[in-house]
Amino acid sequence: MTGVRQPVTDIHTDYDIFDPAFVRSPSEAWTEIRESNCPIAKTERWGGSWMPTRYEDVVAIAHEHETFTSRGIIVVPPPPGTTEGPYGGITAPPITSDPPDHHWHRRLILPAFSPQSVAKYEQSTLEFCNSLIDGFFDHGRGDAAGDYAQQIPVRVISTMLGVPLDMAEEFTSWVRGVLEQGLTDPELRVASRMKILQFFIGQLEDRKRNPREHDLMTELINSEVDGKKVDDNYILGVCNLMLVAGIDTTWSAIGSSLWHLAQHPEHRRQLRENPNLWPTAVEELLRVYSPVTMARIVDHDTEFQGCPMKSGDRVLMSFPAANRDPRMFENPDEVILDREHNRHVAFGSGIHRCAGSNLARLELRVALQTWLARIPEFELVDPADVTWAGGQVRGPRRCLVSF
Amino acid sequence: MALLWLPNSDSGAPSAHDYSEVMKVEVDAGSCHGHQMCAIAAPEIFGSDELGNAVVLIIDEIPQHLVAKVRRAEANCPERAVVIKEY
Repeated sequence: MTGVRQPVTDIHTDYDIFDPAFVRSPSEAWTEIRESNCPIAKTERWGGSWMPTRYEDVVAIAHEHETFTSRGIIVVPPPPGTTEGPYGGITAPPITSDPPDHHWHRRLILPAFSPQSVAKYEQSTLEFCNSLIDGFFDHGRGDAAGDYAQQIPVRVISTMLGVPLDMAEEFTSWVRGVLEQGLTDPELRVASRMKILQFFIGQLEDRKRNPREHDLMTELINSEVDGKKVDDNYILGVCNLMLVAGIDTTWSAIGSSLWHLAQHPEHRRQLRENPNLWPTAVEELLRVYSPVTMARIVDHDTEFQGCPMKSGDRVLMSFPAANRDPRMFENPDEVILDREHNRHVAFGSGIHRCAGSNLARLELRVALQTWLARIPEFELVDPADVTWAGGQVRGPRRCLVSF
Repeated sequence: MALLWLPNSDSGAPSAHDYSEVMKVEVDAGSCHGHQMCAIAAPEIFGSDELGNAVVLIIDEIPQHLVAKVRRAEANCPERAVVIKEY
């Protein structure tokens, strides 16, 4: 499937979200599409999709959830072995849910992710970030992506799910198998999905035998909707989502932000001299380096902005492209840490606003603050050596820095 | 209590110091999807309910020193759910 990559002939009709040049630096392509007569590009690659690039269009599609459904949210269609068979009914609610079920699918988990609830992870995240830095501090160099960013969210999500922290490496490889390498490798995608589901099936059985206090899975087992217990597939789907959506998304945001700060001493200085900047700075880094692109499935034939979309077509929700639209953001490609107007949609828009957004921004802030407190000055060892993942989730995967 | 600027025959055009803004703020619950960007911009004025949706903490007139923060909160809401009412 990976084979020889055919060069992109025309970005408007043949874009390739996995093209290494696009993965490394997508903003030129977004600009070219966005500023053309047809700001919604189309491709037949990877199962075919449409890609809106203007803020207004992306937000409109996100809000028209009856036409643009969430029954498929991965940017490449599912390979055989994921939607049928014994585990075929396990999805990733609420991200894969449409109304009316979407409402309770989301309602049950939102309290665990409110700002008040996620605040309790701040101290342990800070301590963990410090312990990661201890691991490479004396070397005067480290991999800001692999040794740091990548390690943080998996630990937080594992804590939240009450699953063993020493499985971080397995979790990370499973998630990359589903969401990163798996998009261009269907066998890996199926196998990784199976590992995640089998792991959580074991965890669920364990919770049923041994209920725990203050435990999300136990709470979901005990929860009722309209007088009925929720079914196991829902609980397994939520756990699946938390692992898949909660790890390399946030890790990518942390990595991209450190990659940026490594190259911008003036921004490091601003944050040092004015700590009040942190809240807006975090939102600005999320805007410019939005990691996540979701997908929607067209429910019925429709015309959107002149594009004839057919039932079953995929639409890429390019929130990262929307966040660089000059119609919405002044100097959109520039990082302005105290940007006044920032209606960014890094966490999506409408009913599917990222359920974990409060947790993600807490992790991002704590990770960056801890890094800068310990390592106020640092730079890329070699800009050309930085590697990026892209497609559904974009961020650096190796980012060597010296200090 | 903020004061309204009232035309005064003695003083000609108002300068920035001649009046204060009287402002209240609401969140349209139907539009809010819990991005929490209002609470990030203006934590004195916006908070969160159990689900993470915005709640307004100051339902009376916004004190003058927080007016700029309310404007910022409005300008950061991706759902345009922050509604400023000026009198």
